[in-house]
Amino acid sequence: MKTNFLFLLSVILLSVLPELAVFTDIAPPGPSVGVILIVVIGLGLIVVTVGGISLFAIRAIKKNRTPKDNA
Amino acid sequence: MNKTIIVSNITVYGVSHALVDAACAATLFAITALGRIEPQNAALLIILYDVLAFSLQPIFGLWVDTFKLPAHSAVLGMLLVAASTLLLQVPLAAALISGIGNALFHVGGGVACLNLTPGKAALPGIYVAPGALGLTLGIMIGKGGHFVAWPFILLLLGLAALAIKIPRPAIAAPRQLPENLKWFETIILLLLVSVAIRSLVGMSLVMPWKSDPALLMILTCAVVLGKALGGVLGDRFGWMVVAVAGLVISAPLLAFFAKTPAIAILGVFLFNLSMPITLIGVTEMLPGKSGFAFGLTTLALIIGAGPTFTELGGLTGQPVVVLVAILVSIAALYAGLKLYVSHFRDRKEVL
Repeated sequence: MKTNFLFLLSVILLSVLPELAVFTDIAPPGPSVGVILIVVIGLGLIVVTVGGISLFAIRAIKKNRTPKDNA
Repeated sequence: MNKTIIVSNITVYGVSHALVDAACAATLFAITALGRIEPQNAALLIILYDVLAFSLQPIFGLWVDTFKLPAHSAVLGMLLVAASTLLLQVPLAAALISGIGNALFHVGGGVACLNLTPGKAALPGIYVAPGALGLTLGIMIGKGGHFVAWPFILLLLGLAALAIKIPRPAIAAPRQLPENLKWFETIILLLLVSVAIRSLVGMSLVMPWKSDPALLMILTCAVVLGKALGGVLGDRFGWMVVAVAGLVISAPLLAFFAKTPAIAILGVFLFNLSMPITLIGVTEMLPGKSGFAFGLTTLALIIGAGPTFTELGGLTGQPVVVLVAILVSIAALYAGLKLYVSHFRDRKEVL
């Protein structure tokens, strides 16, 4: 890598510093617990909703296949 | 059905299945490997993909059954998956599009293959089996940082063109169910419980030796062979015998010898024999709704896998829990198939 003037003077742009930082006792920033919770609840709702629709569809299929006399 | 139709469809959809799963896995793992996303977010991204890919299939299945367009669903899925490989810079969009594309493809291909030989487990098993190989290869490519989108795109486009061109199987006329539907929901539920528990066990097994690439490939081959041969053997020797015996023998092997590669690989092979049999069992209960039936089994898979995404994952991997879970799965499968034979069987399949 070409050594440029800023490096020679040990001057680094402030915006570059976070990228070079080595985190020791502090975990790097990640998603907040709130975001994770919302995502997990959202995904759970998708599964529950599709499960509910599926149960409804199974009942409907059964109803359509049942002869009127037995219904 | 014409032999050419069977061979062309099972080949195109089987190969496409491996490729679709490989493309999805490679894309998602490349996003992580290339640092496009924080490691903490990577797990969420994969769970998002899994939930979309597996839980949307019953809905897409109902759509495919209603409009009788399995090939269109499969092709649309392949195109979406191909598009998602270009979205490494936008991880959320990649997960959403690949998940939806994967679901559309699976249902479309599943319906096409279930209609090739109605009431038989062999071809659906052969269609599903290559997915495991694609998944393993995709993860390897993605994790290794060797992901390049264009080979996936070219292959997916080529296979999509073939899927449009090959002669399509006629959608089988739905068989008549008996008048008494007393056990209808119970049988479907029992078979799906068996699938869900199988998923839970499969996701919970702790096999540290999987880090060896050679052993991982042998394990993947055991999964592929188990799924592919399960249907063939089931049609030949009886669904109940093959599925239940496979699970019974696999239970101690997986529960107590998961850390011994040779024994665990044999266990995984036997464990997977029941997969095509539960699929065809659910399909037989829902005549004319094979897309929905296929989707129900994948919904059961994601529900079963759910606990492994949480802290419970450590508990479900305990040998005793694995043993009990497989025994419950066996009981559900046995009861479901027994009730099916007693009340709903009208084909001449061996049970």
